[in-house]
Amino acid sequence: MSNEPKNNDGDRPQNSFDRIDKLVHEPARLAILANLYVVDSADFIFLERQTGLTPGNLSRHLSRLESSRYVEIRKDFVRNRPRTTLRLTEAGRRAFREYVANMKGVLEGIVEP
Amino acid sequence: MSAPLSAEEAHALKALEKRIYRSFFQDGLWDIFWGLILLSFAAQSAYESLGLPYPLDHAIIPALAVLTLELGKRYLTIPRLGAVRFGPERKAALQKGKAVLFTLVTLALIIMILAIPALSLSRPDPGRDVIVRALMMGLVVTTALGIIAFFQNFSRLYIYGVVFGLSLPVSQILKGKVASPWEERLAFGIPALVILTLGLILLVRFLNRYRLIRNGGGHVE
Repeated sequence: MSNEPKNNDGDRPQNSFDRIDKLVHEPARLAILANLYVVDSADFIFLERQTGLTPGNLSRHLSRLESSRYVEIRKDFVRNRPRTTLRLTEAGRRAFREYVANMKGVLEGIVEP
Repeated sequence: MSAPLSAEEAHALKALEKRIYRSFFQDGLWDIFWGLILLSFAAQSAYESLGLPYPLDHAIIPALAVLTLELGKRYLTIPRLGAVRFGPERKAALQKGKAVLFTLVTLALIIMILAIPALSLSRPDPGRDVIVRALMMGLVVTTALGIIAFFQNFSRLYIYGVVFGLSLPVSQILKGKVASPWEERLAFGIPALVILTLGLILLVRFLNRYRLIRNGGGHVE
């Protein structure tokens, strides 16, 4: 019997693609996670510059990442100006590492089936 | 437990972190800072005409350099590039850099204090001793700035360190060859103006490239 993990429907072995976290797989969110992974925390403008996303787009993706508890969003005021600080949670860091490892598995599977 | 990153992946992420860190040097403010510090040596003779008590007069240009850097980062760079806090690895590297720098400068000063009397006794021509001393000091300055450049990942500072280090013996060599205080003005002033100009060009380019973002706070619902 195969030890391969089963998919949710339980009737076929889970292939490498099924292990890819779709939330992380989206390019804009992947860019956000990669940038936040290498720093301790960053503000909204920083991510806007680094990812090249529009404020609305960035805001939408951050909301999704926050609702999945991958990103922690803190709002405060600095010299009477609003500031949004973003930090990757431990779950977000884990998800990013797993995504990288799983993607590597997928690519290796394609090259060496 | 999640899979750890491979060496290759960790290297790629480190390169990304380094790129982000280095992006904060493209504003030219550090170049202006070092240019002003070098300029403060060139302007030594002009301090007396200010009529301020020593050492307050000598502190004016370095204070201006610090102020330019602090205010520039706060009001020009951060509103345009955003604010970021780097991870513990980067902070540890900067702390290590400070410790190495402190140790090296202390050691260099001790060696210089011990070596200078010996040099003075061994040389019949005292004028040459001054140049040797200036060369030694220049070497200390170059090494110190090289260490700062290494831990700050600021490549241009290596060149500024060499220029700074050479300016000290050059000013001594020029003494007697040009009317005083032109030896200081030429030796420190010319490289200072070159560094300042480069810093200003980088700053203008940075301000043109990164326009101010109006809604700086972000609006995550």
